[in-house]
Order: sequence, then C-alpha cells, then structure tokens
Amino acid sequence: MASRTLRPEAIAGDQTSGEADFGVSGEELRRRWVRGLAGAVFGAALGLGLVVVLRAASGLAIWQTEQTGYPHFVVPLVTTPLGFLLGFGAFTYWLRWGFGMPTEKEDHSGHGAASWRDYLIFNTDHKVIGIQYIVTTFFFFLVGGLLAMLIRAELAQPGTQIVGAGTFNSLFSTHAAIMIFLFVIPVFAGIANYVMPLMLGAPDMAFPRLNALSFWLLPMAGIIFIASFLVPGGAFDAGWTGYAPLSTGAPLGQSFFNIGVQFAGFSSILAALNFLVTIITMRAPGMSFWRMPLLVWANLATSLLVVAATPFIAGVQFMVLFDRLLHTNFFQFGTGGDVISYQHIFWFYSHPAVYIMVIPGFGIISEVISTNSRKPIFGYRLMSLSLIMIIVLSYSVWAHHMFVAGMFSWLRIPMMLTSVLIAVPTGIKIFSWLGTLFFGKIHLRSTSMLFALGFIVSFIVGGISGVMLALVPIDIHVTDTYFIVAHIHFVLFAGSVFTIFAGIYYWFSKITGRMYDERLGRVHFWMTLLGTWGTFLPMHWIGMDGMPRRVADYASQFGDWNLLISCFSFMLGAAQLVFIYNMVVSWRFGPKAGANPWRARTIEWLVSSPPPRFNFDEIPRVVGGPYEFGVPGAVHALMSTEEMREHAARAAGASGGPVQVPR
Amino acid sequence: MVPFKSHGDEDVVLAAWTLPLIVGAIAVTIVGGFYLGGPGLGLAVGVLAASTVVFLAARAEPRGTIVPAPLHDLRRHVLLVSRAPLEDPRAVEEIADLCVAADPWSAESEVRLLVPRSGRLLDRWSGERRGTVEAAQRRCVLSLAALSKAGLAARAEIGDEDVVLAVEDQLRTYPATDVILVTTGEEGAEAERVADELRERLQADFLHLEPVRGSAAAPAAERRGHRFTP
Repeated sequence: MASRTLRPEAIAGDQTSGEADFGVSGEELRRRWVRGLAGAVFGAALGLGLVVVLRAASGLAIWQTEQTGYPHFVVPLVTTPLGFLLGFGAFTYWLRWGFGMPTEKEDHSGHGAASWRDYLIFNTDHKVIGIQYIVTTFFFFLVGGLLAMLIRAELAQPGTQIVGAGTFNSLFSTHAAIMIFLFVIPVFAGIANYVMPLMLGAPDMAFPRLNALSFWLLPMAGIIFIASFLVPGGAFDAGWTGYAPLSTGAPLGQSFFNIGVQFAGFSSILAALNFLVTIITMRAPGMSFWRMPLLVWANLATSLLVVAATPFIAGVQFMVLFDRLLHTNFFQFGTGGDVISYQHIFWFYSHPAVYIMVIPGFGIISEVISTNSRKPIFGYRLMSLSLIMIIVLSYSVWAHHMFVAGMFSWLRIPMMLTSVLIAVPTGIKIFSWLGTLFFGKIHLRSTSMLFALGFIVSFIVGGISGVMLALVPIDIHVTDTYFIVAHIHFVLFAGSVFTIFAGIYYWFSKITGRMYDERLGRVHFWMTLLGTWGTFLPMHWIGMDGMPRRVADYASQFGDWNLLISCFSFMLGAAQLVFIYNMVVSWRFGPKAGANPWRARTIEWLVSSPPPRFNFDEIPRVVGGPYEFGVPGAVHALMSTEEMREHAARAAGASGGPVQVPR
Repeated sequence: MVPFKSHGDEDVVLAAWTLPLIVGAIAVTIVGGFYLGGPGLGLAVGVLAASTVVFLAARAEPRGTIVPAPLHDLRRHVLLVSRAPLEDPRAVEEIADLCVAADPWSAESEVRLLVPRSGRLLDRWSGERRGTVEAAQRRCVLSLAALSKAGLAARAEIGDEDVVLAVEDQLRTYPATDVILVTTGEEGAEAERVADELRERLQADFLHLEPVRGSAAAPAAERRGHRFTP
C-alpha cells in the first residue's frame, strides 16, 4: 500500500512541474555553466602554464612535444576537467570548509528536480543523479553502438571497404572502452543511485555531494575518450586492454585513454564508497542484512570489488602514462621494464571488473523474477553468500587471460582450477532463479520479465563458453579469435545489457511516473534477442575455425558468416532505436503510473511514482523480508505512524473470528 | 574515554581519536609484516586485517533498545511469545493467569500471541516459506484453542525465525506493556540467549517462562526471568 502521506512534488517530465517552489532558474543555470566553462579555460591555461614554466625552469625546450609524449596536451587534459568542475561548484563546499571559511547553509535548493534545468547542475539528490547517470550512460551506449555498427559494416565483406586498418583499431578500442567504462559499469551505478536509497528506506545517499561529484567525473571521461579521435595520430588503438608496450609507444590518443580511465575510475570508486556507507549505516530500522533486497546485496558486493580492484587499473594506467610522458621504465623491456607485469596488474582489476559489470545485474534479475513469478527468492541466503563467494574468487582468476602471454607456466593450473570453481557460485544463482520460477505465477507480459528470462538463457551460453575458456588447452586454441568476442558479448551484452534493460523497464514507472508502451517493449525485446543471438552465436564457430579478432580484413572463407553477423548486428542496432523511442515518448506522454504497478514488495514501491523530493515523510520501519510473496498478510515495511496504527488496528480488530493469522 | 558510545536508539558513535589509531595500527602491522617477512607476510597481514575489519563490520549488529509502539489506551497489552504450541493445560492456565493478573487499571487486557516460524537449516537456506508458515499457523491454532479453553481471548501473529527480530517487528505496531517468552526447555542455550537479549533490550516488562524438568508435581511453569522496568 502506498503511503498516503506522501505526494510527489514534481513529476519528471510533467508540464506542471515548473510550479514547484524550488529548482534552478534559466539565468542561474547559465551562470553556473559560464563559470564552469571559465573554470575549464582557467584549468587548461594552468596546465599549459605549468608545463611551460617547469620545462623552462628545467632548461628543456619549451615547445618540444612528440618526443616527450605531448605534455602540453596531457597535463591540460587533467587540469581542464578539474577546472570545469571547480567553476561548476563541485568543490565549493569542501574548499570553503577546508580553508576555514564559513560554509553556506544547506537550503536544499540543489536537491530535487523541478524542471529539466535541474538535471544540468551539480544536484545532490540521489534520484536526479540516478537519472543523470542513466541518461548520460545511454548516450554513450548509443555512441559505442554506432562505433559497433561501423565495425560490422567494415567486416561485412572481406577486404577493407570503409575504414583503414589503423582507424579500425581505433574503432574497436573506443567501442570497448566506451561500452565498459562509460556504459555498463556506470549505468548500474545510476540504477542503484535511484533505487537503492529508496529500497533501504533512506532519505538520500550517505554523501550527497560526493555522489554528485561521482556523476560529473563520468562525462569528463567520456569527452576525453571521444576527443581522442581529434588529436594527431587518431584515437587510441591498443584495445580496451591497452597492453604495454603497444600502448607505451602509441600516438597521443593513447594518453587520452590513460587519463579518461582515471576519471571513470575515480567516479566508480567514489560511488562505491558512497554505496558501502549508505548500505551499512542507512538501512531503515528493522532491515537486517538478511532482509536487504538482493539488489542491495549485489551493490554491496560490487562496491567491495570496485573499492579494492579499481585502484589497480588506475595505478597501471598512470604507470603507462609515466612511461610515455616521463620516460620511466615500468614496461619498456629494452630499458629494464617488465612487459608481463602490465597484464598481471591490468587483469587483477579487469577480471573482477567482469563481475563489477554483471553482479548488479544479478540483483536486478532477482528483483524482476521474484516479483513477476509472485514467489519468494529460492535460496535467498545462498544467493547473498554466492555473491560474496564470487567476489572472493574473482581475485584468484586473473591470469586465465594470460595463458599464452608467456607468464610462469606453473600459474596456469591453479588459475584454471579457480576459474572453473567460480562457476559454482554463479551456477547457484542460475539454479536459484530457476527454483524461483518453478511453480511460480509467471507474468510473461512484462518486458522486464522477458529480458530477465532472455538473460538467463543467454547468460548460460556465456557461462558455458567461459568454463571452456578457463581450460588451458581450449583457451590456447581459441586465443585472440572470434570465440573470445562471442564469449565476452554473450556475457556482457546478453548478460549485463539484458539486465540493464530489465531494470530500466522494471523501474521506468517509478522513475518517470509514467508507464511505457509494453507492445513496443516486446518488439524491442524480441529484436534484441534475435539480433544478439544472430550476431554473437556464429562468432563461436568462426572463432573455432580460426578467424582472428581485432583485424579489419579476414580470409574470404569467413565472408558469408560475417555478412550474416553484420545483418543481425544492424537489426540489433535498430532494436535500440525502438527502445529509445519508447522511453522518450512514454516519459513525455505515457499514461500516469500508480505507486506499485507490479505489486512488488520492496520499499521503493511503497512511495508514489515518482517518489517525493525527500523520499519519505517518516523513515519506514521494516518488519519482514522483501520477497514474502504468497505469505498471508506479510508486510516488508510500514511507511508511517498512521500506517502502523492502521496495521495494529487491523491486527487487533474486533471483527473476524478469534483466530487471525495476518502474518 | 570509551571508544564507542551508544546513544539509545541504535546509533553507535566512534570517538574521534579511535579512527586514526585503528588505521595506524593496521598500517604499522602491514608495514611490519613487509619488513619482517617480505611481500608474502605483508600481503597476508593486509588481507587478514581487511578481512577482520569486514567481518567485524558485518557482525556489528545494532543492539539498541526495543521500544514498543506508543500506547493509545489504558489497557494492559501482553505479548506472549512461544515457538512451540501451548498444549499443557496447567501451563496454559498459569500463562492465562499471568496475562490477566495485576492489571493496574482494572481494564480488560489485550493479549497477542506471537509464534516465530521455525524451520530446518535447509528450509532457512533455501528460503522455504510455505511449509514453515503452515507449521506456525497450526501451532497458532493449537495455542489459541488452549488459551481460549483457559478463558483467555487472544489474537495471533506469525513472526520471523529469529525470535528477537520477531518481537522487535511486532512491537513496531503493538504497544506491549508486558512481554512473556514461553520456552519448552528443549531449546537449551538458545532460549537463554534470547531471553537475555530481550531482557537487556526490551523497554517493557519481561518474563521468561520455562517448564520445570523432572517433577510432575511441580508447577507447570517456573518464572525464570525477572521484571525489567524501564
């Protein structure tokens, strides 16, 4: 039951929202952006000035660039976004506090959204930040998708038709980097940002300003990645892995990758810290760890991974940058560096990163499947613990990416065993979802449920090819072939992206206050499912036959398969246009949504759609588990004193027989 | 100065000086590990320290006071907590007497029976609900019938498997003035632990009843708890 004391103050996309007594004016918005851009110019000048002054002071040629790794570009690349953020007000509170100046009293004017303008400022409301994340990351999803279409257009026939080999390298490198660092990882942060505080019964995240900073670092990373196409030598082309020494000797664009990853990484780490503190300290009274929704468990596990693992990629990209810029010798073999150590450090982050990219999706799928099967999660506790098992094991499998890299050969066997072992907790989750579906009242009309079911089927394929790749002989046979491309896309597209779609459809009504078009949703699902399988399934076969990945041209024997794959990939791309159309039109004109259209149990569904500006009039009281479907009278949370009284009165009501078992 | 202060309702505040001390202690131990035993020992100590911090954080459950919902009348409200069915007529009679006795306002008492679910380990880990709820409903019916026979009208609710959590949930809406925990004597140390925790945290009168073993002539129930007045 929705709390009757709660009313939305502004509905996202509602024409009447301008009547709210908060929000930023057009003039104020313009002022903040002008200050931000001025800050960016100042930052660029500062960076350039620093390079000039330091080189002059050191007696070096001031304008020498190429031989020294382009410091005149690289240093401003760091200081310009920081200058923008400074001018934009991201650090104002902390700086004033740090310098002992009186801080401005919090009047919550930067909280909540009364109009579209409030999404373009340094807003501290977790719901606004959630939407900022989701919209921004989907923009990058479209950019990354367009790059994928270009790649598939080039590969539709043998030979080079559209782009040359060098540009092709840049295309697949930026495609992967954008999809991983700017879409899959942060979109989960966006969904969690919106939903998780509501699920926990918290008024906001633990650190709202840090939360806003986490978001605003992300577009900086995106702009840096995309801007690399404009610099001498073109965009970075050493793959999203950026292996040294390929990356240490690459043109300037590679530095854009090194620095873009720092911004995206910082964004991830700050968001994860915020999630951890929020989950541990801001749960509603009565919400023990064993009563947390599985999405919250998933974000707890993911945040632990992010906090512990992301500094490794940040560190290793700095090391590459120093090799390029300061002529250090971390990875230059000829001057005493250790080439393999790059891969060890990189994969020590990047294998856990695979779980960072899929564990939040596991949480989303648990919510969707339980609600749409009208059943409690089968093995809730095992589901939670399997997440912890995954994060522990994920640190012990990194070298399975390096079976052919020339590392110590004795390391292969333990890494093979742990890589196979990690399938166990993942398998627990699959069986748990199947157990939840078993004898459930399955609602197949919901698009989110279709994507959840599509995810399970497709992820099993990705999981099985993952177990195959864990085995040394098979891995050696298919290394650097399209089998790897097929595997990673079945895990990250049919896996993670399907869960993202499931989550977006599931919480769309909560976020926007509108219902989407279910018919278009189903069209989107079936086109996406068919496009995914048609694109990535044949890649297993051509990979086994030896077609190498990361090449613009290939042997003519693979021509027919590649044409078919490209056709399906265009279908996959077209499906996303249906999705975008559905989301935009439904957000603007869709029928108004009730508080709980799916009859779900978790707390976010007990407030209005969209939720009120400060979430709750009173902190909810949790009195039961989150998935107690089918348990007579079960309640997860009580929303207000008034509702608690009603609940007590019902329990003690005079009517009815002497025996009532409402819980 | 104590490092942790509890401010009533579940807030645990860390004294300012403890945080740098803890971080320093962890850092010194790790550096010491590296110095004495090389990277292996240093990393091992680091992993151990991190695991310990995470373990302690996960174990640090808030143990604030359990405050019943506010009273809206002058009646006595008794929460009777029993996992097992109340079947022994003598025990039920004594419980009924306890529930209706000593009403300072001479108004009719309200009695609510709380039956925590109980399941096997496998049920708990598989998330099985239906079986445990049905079993608890059966115990509810038996207990209510026995109480009714003893002249006590009560209503019943089914609660969480964790008895303390079940009581806490119940008191969010039920304005209990008295909480009576009835155990069978077969739960062993678990019953004692639950009783001790309720005695410590409840802001209501608390009584723990347990049958006397080995004496058929003895009263059906023995008061093992003591009244806890806020």
